[in-house]
Amino acid sequence: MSERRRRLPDGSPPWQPPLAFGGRGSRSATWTSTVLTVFCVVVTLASAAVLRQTPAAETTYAAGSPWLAAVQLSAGLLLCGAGLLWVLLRGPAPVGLTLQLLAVTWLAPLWAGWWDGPALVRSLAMLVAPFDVALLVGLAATYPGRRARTTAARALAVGTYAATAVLASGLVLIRDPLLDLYCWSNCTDNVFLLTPLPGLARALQIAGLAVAVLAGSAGAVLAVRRLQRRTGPAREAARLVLLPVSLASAANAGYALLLLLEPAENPSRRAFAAVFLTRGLTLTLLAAGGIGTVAREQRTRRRVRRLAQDLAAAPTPGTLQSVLRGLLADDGAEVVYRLSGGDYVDASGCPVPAPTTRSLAVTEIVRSGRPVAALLHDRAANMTDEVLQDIGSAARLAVDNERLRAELLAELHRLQRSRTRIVQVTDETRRQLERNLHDGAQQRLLALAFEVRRARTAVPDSSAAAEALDAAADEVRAALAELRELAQGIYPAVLEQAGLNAAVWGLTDQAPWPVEVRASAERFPHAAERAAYLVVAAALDSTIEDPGGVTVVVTSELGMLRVEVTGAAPKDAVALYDRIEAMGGRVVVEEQSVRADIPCE
Amino acid sequence: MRVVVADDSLLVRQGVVHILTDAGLEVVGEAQDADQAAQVASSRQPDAVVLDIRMPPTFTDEGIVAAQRIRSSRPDVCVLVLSEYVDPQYAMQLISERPEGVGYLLKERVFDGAVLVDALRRLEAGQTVVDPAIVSRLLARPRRRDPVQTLSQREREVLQLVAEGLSNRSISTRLSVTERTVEAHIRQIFLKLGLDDDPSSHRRVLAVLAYLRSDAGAPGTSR
Repeated sequence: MSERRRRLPDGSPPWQPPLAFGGRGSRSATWTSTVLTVFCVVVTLASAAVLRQTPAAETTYAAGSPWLAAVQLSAGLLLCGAGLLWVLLRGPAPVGLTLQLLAVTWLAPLWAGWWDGPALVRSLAMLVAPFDVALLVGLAATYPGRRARTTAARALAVGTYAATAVLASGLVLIRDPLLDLYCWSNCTDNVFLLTPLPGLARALQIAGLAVAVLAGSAGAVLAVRRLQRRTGPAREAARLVLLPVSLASAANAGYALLLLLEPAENPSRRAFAAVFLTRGLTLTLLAAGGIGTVAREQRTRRRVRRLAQDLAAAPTPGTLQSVLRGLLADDGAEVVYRLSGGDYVDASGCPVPAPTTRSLAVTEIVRSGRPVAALLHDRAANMTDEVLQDIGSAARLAVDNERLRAELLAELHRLQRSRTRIVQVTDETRRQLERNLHDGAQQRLLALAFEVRRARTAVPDSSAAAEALDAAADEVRAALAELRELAQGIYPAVLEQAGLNAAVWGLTDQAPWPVEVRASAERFPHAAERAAYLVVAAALDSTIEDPGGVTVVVTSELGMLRVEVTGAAPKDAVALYDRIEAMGGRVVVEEQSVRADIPCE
Repeated sequence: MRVVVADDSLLVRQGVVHILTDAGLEVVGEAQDADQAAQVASSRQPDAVVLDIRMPPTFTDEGIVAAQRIRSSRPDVCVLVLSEYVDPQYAMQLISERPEGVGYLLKERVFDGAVLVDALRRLEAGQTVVDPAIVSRLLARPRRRDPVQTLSQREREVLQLVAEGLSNRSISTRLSVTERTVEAHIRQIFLKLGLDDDPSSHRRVLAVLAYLRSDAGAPGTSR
């Protein structure tokens, strides 16, 4: 994955693929690919023909053994086919073209050794053959993108290409095959020859082999290292190609090393044949890996399309994330939605951290230029732009539906929290008020009562002052009693101190008719006890004349406190609904009963 | 009689102290919270401790907790809790352990000085004191099949006084009848209510209160 953040298209304006390798748009790449394919097929068929013409002489490996011939031709054809599939199905990624060029460089020695073949063809073949090292190193550095991610990898790839270009082109200008001591496949033709300089030519040959040994080894290591740095689905996806690249690169290094040690190449010698066979097999493996990768992705895309139809037809809200997880074979994938305030929530409306703070790859989903959602996923190789495009058009409706729903749910959560806070604040205020009444007004009234009493003792019993003071004492007494009732109504202290059971008994003491109570002495959280208390208080406050048997039952089960009053129901249950629903509970009021289920968290 | 007064409100504490000293009782110590009350109660050797129910730190039922602590360490010291709660729960919690010498009065009651002093004298005599308002409330509690309704007017009066913690002698004085008559009434009341307890025991106040508190006569009552 060359970029960490991408954008999922929203359908309009039409999505354009990014810049292609070697040209703009996919048309020229497909054209290039078609040309290359025709070329590959022609070359392979011609190679077969060349082989038939070439005597079992010592100019090619294939001519000497039908097995080696089969390996060379099949590896070339497969590389060509894999490259073509890649370009056609995965778009203009450089991987496809690289595979095809590898087929050319792999088949080139066959042409160089064409017995009595045209001089130009044989000379060109000598020129292109050494580029296989650079192609593999480039693949190791960039796969599956089009750009190396580290400076070192980029330097290695560019350096290998440059060194190979300089050495190979320099060599053809000064190498006279007739004067080449170690020449074997083509000892007659070089149409590019300017001046024969046998000594320098040999030096360039040795330099080229040294470059091949070093670059080939480095490419092999780089491919493995890049594979190790990946995890999960991404590693699995990249393994199919990077592993063969590493092997093929190592085989190239081995080949060059052998030539440095044994300059006289000879297909009939076992060591050379073995190296050739290894190179052929690793390239076959690479071609198979390329085809496998494309096939895997095609499978994913087919699944996307199938699901696209489902999603477009009837997207069930809340299912997009699980659908995408299955689709991407990535259990960690997430879909998050951006609220208008800039906060992010999941499909259920719960807040989540902003995508940029996460370690996952982020693909933004935009509507009219504004990001509305984001897909967080593993940086898997099968998340290509094409897959994203498919998902983008498939999930359009689902994303819109889910985003609206998530926004509503987030709003709902906020309201819920706000309701809970309102209830909490109200309770706390009332509690404080009750305490203040006790500790303030009541203490003052009591003090006043003492003063009145002292004054009363100072005056004779039958005086007018005594009468007034007695009246004052009665007033204070009445005020204290009223104050007590008021405080009790504001917040029943007994509920907090002695629990729901005691408080419910206190309520039934004052009910106008007999009430049967069945309640355990168990304690519950204050908020739950208070809610239950208010249910009972509201029900017992009803004005029914003679309900003919009222029962209060308090039970608890699985973290829920259930309070049930039968025989009487609250006149107005709005406050109860407000409070208990704010806690996530439920109230059912019927004509002669009320039942509340209150969560105890 | 040596008394310790514990109340976090200076005004109320001074009022209570005045009443007690006016009545000729000796206030040997004052306290502002429950811990201090327990400390003074053990150091000043009082005969009785008057406690406010709400004291620091939580201003809920510290007075009751302190009373129980004092009673368990000094069983001979009487304890009177002054409260603003008319809920029977607190009074029953207070006297449930050992009712003799323990009392629960509504605070507003005490500015009638005679009530406070009378309560302390009754506690000293080993009786129990339960505020009349609480007993009235329990008596008035509606019941399905109510044996209390079968009592005569005079029997109800006697039941009220028994529940308030008065002894037979005090009841006879209060109602201007002989002690024998009171005993006869109480036997009759216990019979009608179906109470098994010994009518002459100190614990009869608990039995009566528990009876009144329960939903007597109703089936399936858990308490």
